[in-house]
Amino acid sequence: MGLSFDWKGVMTGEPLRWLASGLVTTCAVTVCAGILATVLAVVFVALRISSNPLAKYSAMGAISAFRNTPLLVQLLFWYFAAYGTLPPGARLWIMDDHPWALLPGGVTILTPEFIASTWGLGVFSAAFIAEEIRSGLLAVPSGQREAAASQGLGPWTILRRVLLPQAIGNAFEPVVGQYLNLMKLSSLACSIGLAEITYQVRQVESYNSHALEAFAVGTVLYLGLALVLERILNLAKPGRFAAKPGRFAAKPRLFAAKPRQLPKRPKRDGSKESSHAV
Amino acid sequence: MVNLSVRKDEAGLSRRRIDPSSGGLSTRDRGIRSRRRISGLVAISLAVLLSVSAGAWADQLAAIKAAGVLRAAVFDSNPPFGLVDEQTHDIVGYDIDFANAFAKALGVKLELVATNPANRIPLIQSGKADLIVADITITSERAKVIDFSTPYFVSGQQLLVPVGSSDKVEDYATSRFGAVKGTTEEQAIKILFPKAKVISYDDIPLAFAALRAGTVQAITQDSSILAGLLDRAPDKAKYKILPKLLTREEIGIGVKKDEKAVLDSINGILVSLEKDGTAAKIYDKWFGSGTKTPQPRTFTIAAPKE
Repeated sequence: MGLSFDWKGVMTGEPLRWLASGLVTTCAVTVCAGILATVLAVVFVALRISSNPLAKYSAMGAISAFRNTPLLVQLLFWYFAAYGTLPPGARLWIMDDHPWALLPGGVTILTPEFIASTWGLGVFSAAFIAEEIRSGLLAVPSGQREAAASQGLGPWTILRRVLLPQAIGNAFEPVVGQYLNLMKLSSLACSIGLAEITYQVRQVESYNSHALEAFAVGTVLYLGLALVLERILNLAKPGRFAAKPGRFAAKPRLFAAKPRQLPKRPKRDGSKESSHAV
Repeated sequence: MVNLSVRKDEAGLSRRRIDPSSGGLSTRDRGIRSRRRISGLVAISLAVLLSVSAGAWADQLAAIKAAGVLRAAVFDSNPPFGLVDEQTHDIVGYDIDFANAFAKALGVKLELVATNPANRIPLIQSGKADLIVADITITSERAKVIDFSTPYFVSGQQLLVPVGSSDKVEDYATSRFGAVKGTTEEQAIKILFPKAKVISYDDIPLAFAALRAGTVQAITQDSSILAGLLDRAPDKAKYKILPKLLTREEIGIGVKKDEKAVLDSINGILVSLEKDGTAAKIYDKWFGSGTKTPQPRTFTIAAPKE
């Protein structure tokens, strides 16, 4: 092939420091945007299923806008257009030194790039997660709701105790997919100057032309992060400890003559993991 | 006006001979073909004669004067240094005006050899051209293989900042800078201001957009690029370019190594062009206000320091 690799140019000195700080930045923006996305998704769902037409249709409009425009365009909008409309005082405050916002590797989370990226990624992912949860809600049989109502439960309790747990169970795999997407899509934030993994990989490339090695390391970092993130998120899988749906589903095995030959129970919605174009 | 003859030589270089003595563009008539062929033959014989004579004479300056032709390697697609005029189809530009001035001062005709960045130095090393007048930056690396005249154009890295910001470059030591990914300017600002934060964007318009949004306090690039950027901006009154050059990029005339007589005469001509105002006039023609790339002249041509 004639390919030769020089890992020293990537794994030592300045380039290594850059890549390490890129990794910290990607982790930080993923966590912050993930939390924001979760909160916003709950708000979106609540508005979307509310009976107030104003709330319902404004949520529909917002979700539709965020889901149907490219994330890169949204990030450019938040950073280059929307950021400039912040009051000057706020902008000056953001640009000041904030020791509390400093992460290891010289990464600071209070910069215009970090704020715009977190906000952009959070809002974008929230729209997708909200729709996954809503489809999970729609998949809950209407009898569940009626039965709960007939027990005398109020609408909020029904949603919280009966419908949402089942909806999240239904939508769990696609929602995990959205969080993984969020982590991977953070690479787009390099175009608004967020010094995450992709940005640093390109910096190494222009610094010593070790493009092949730098991109290989970047790919491995993303892959590793995705695998770790998936493991962590699966810890929160409903029924993992309580085994709520599982204990019913496991029953037939007791009566099966040859349990091992039984086809594996298909993962719930496992194949429906959604992806979207950017 | 000038009389043009275009042909392709063995090396595939298109040459345009400019004869200042003949009048107008009258060759652009039906007789153009035959005249071209004749002048092409003349050019070939001249080239043969020159390559023979260049070997015979040790002194290149004497060879140029004897041949009566100064061959200058120039760019034909690097405005405003060298470009093809849309109307006349001549190569024109800042470099060409200087080349013309050299030929006039030496009392010879000018022959332009269109070239590209990679071919510039080989052209004078192989004797196919006498001078490089092609936006060539003076570097110590290049100075090992060719000699450079005193700079006849100086540009450098500058800062573009909002109009209300400080004029002192030192005040930006801890600022946030917008730069273009992978450029020498990006690297230079990190070395110059280690405490500054450098945010790199894909291109200079994006960096300018960041400055407009207030996410960076200054953007940095080569002076000519910044000047063009600011000139095209609809809101140019809100921004200014600081005059101080953070790094200097000097452009000189490239001369074959150890041809002292040619080098001295070119340096002498450059200094006299500065003295009689011709150099400033040429600058104004290509970089003055009203041109596509206006920028103030921050230099004067001086005799080389020895």
